[in-house]
Amino acid sequence: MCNVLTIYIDTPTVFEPLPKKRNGENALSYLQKELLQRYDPTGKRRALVDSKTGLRAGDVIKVTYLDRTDVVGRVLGIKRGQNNVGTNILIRNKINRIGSEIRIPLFSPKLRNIEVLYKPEEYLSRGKQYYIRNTKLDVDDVEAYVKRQQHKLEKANVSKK
Amino acid sequence: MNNSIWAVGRKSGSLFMGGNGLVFTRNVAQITSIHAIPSMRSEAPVINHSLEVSNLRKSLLGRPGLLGIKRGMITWFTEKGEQFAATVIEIDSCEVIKHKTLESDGYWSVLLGQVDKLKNVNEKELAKFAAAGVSPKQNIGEFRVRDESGLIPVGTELKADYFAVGQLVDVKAVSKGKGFAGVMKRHGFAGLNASHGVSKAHRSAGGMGGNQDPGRVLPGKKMAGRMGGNNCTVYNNEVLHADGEAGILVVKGQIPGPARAFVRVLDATKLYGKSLNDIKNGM
Repeated sequence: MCNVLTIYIDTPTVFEPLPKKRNGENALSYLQKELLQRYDPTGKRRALVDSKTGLRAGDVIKVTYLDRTDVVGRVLGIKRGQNNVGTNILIRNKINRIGSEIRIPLFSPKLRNIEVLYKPEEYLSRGKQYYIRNTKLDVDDVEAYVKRQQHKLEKANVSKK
Repeated sequence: MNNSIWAVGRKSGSLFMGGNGLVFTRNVAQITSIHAIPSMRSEAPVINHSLEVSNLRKSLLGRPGLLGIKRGMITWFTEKGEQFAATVIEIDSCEVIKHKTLESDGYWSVLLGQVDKLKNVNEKELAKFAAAGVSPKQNIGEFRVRDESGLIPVGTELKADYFAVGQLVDVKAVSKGKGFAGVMKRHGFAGLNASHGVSKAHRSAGGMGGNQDPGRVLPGKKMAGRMGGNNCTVYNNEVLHADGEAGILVVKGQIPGPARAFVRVLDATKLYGKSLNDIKNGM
């Protein structure tokens, strides 16, 4: 005769977890994609601030709003948002000889278009050129400056021919 | 007869004549003596420091809130083109685990759990989740509700679209710890002078109170010490976006705590321009 002692251990059931949301993608980057799709479906604005091929500090741009008003200025710096649509461009101009700056939210639904008016041959150093304010490097009336530059170019082309 | 003092001020001059004889009663003396009443039955006194009365005092919400994880801050544009700072809260497998009822616990509440946790859960904990029929969770939170109509069935998953876009919510979390902070940072004191003879005490508190009278520092004096890392609530943040399928809730403004913090989101308990009684009465 042999006695068999059986011990039953009552282990609790572990239920399967719910399926992962967004296929396990990071919530912020998922939302970022969704927002970019909403505010920049063609990818045109993103290309504008591409760190290699896009705008640089020193370029002159013209920003047109939905109500057809526009702003012209020289780019002082581009602030690129990480995982958000907060990217903005700081532009500077002289209006009635007073230096004035405006930050343009790149993905704002108020914007109609951003046009590049002029790209200089040689750029100043630094990605953010705050140091030009109130120095001899400072911007003048940007629209007049662009006209002068274009006139120079045309002259050069004529003399070449 | 008319000269008698009894007749003064009376309509008829014949006080001692006719059917209406004057009867003198002393009404004041007719009150039952307090000593004649053996006992009186009065109502039981209300004990304010009790669960029942405390429940009545609270303005509780009709439904529980949600548990979430703070993921970080983003820029948000409205259709008009207004730009806001907004916070992203992830609502990840937030499920109902248990109810607390008036009979068993003295109040109504819903226990929620969030974020599936499959490792390092002991059997005692596992049994609780097994009873609810949900997978083990990383965080558990309790929300008191007004009555039993607020009890959501156990095992239900609450998604981010539980909140409507445009409604106001309160967010509760533990704020970022700042360590041992001085009075300028902790209480916004102005500090001492930069010059005029001030030496090595530019960020000090200054005076601590009186001199010989009261001869001690009064309790509650604001001093340097541990800052942050305490429970914190922000009230009335607007919901800008609620995506139930993706588990993303975006609220306007800031919420306490670092990214990856465990937060609790609930319907706004205070609404500007409305008293708590108004809200209670559904006004």
